Amino acid sequence: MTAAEQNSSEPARRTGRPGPAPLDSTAGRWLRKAWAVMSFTGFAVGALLSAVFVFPVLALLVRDPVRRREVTRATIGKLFGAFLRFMGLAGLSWDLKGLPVEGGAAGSASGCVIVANHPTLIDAVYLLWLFPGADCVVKAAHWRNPITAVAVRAAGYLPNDDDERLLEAAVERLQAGGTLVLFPQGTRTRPGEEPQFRRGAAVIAARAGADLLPVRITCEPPVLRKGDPWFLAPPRRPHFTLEALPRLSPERWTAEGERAGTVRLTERLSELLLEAVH
Amino acid sequence: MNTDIDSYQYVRNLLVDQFDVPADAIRPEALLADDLGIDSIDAVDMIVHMREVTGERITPERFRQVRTVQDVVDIVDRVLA
Repeated sequence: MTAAEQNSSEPARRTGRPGPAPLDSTAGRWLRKAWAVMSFTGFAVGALLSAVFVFPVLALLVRDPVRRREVTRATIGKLFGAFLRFMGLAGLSWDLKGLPVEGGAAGSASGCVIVANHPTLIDAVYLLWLFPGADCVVKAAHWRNPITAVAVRAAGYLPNDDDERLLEAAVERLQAGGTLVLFPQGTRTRPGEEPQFRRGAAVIAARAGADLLPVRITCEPPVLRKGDPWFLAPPRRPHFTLEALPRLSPERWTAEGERAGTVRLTERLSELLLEAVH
Repeated sequence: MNTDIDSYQYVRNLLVDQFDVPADAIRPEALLADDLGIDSIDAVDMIVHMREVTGERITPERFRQVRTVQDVVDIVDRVLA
């Protein structure tokens, strides 16, 4: 065990608004509906404004592709942070345990694969805010969507249309010292279904010689799940907890063969990230 | 046909040696995912192996049609033909 693996006693860092408070009056119900409408319009307006005024301007001003990638990612991180704080004003709250990792107990995240479970629509918003320089895999359709095309291209994220190229590119980026955010379950958890973790994250980490840094995400009450109508108002103010767990080194698992090792490592990740959903 | 037997042997050896598939589970009609536990990463690795042997890139679109062991054998045959 390295020092980084013994960080579980780190006290929770509280950010955003204080914890959830029940709101069950009529006024509360209207506030929650307003929350749902505001979160969606806020995100949509923010995305639209940035798609028109921020990312194309950045792409014009910063010609060097490497520098452009850094600036775009940093900007996405800041915009996502601003969106979360905006939602904080409306009652969204969160606890960060062991995060952000820079300067925290888990050490630097550079060269790591950050793996998280995926309960809600805004998990990636949290992770790209907390790990602003990170690479992530983005649905290939976003390369052709006018709202997102400029940003995902300039940020140099990885499209998911060709598994072989994705695997290769992910390993290369990590070996060059990059950080990669992955959701091993691929898509959000469907209420009532046990998510199936796929082996890709463990394989990418093993081939790149990179550590896995699991981040467990819980949201209480659950909101923005797969299949939830967006206007569904939560029964209480939603409260997120994001917790960095001790790192895992794939080489400890793959001594007797990569395939069997990554299968077991993936099972372990699934246990770590899906346990204690309270 | 002789080449057909060779292709089948090649695919069978590949599955046993590289993908931890028990030899007695392999039949031409066996389903790669459901019967033999081949996942999407294995599919990528199979494409890479097959390219090393055949010298041709098998596109992911083409490989996505593959369901059974025989489907893989057919692709190898077509590439080598």
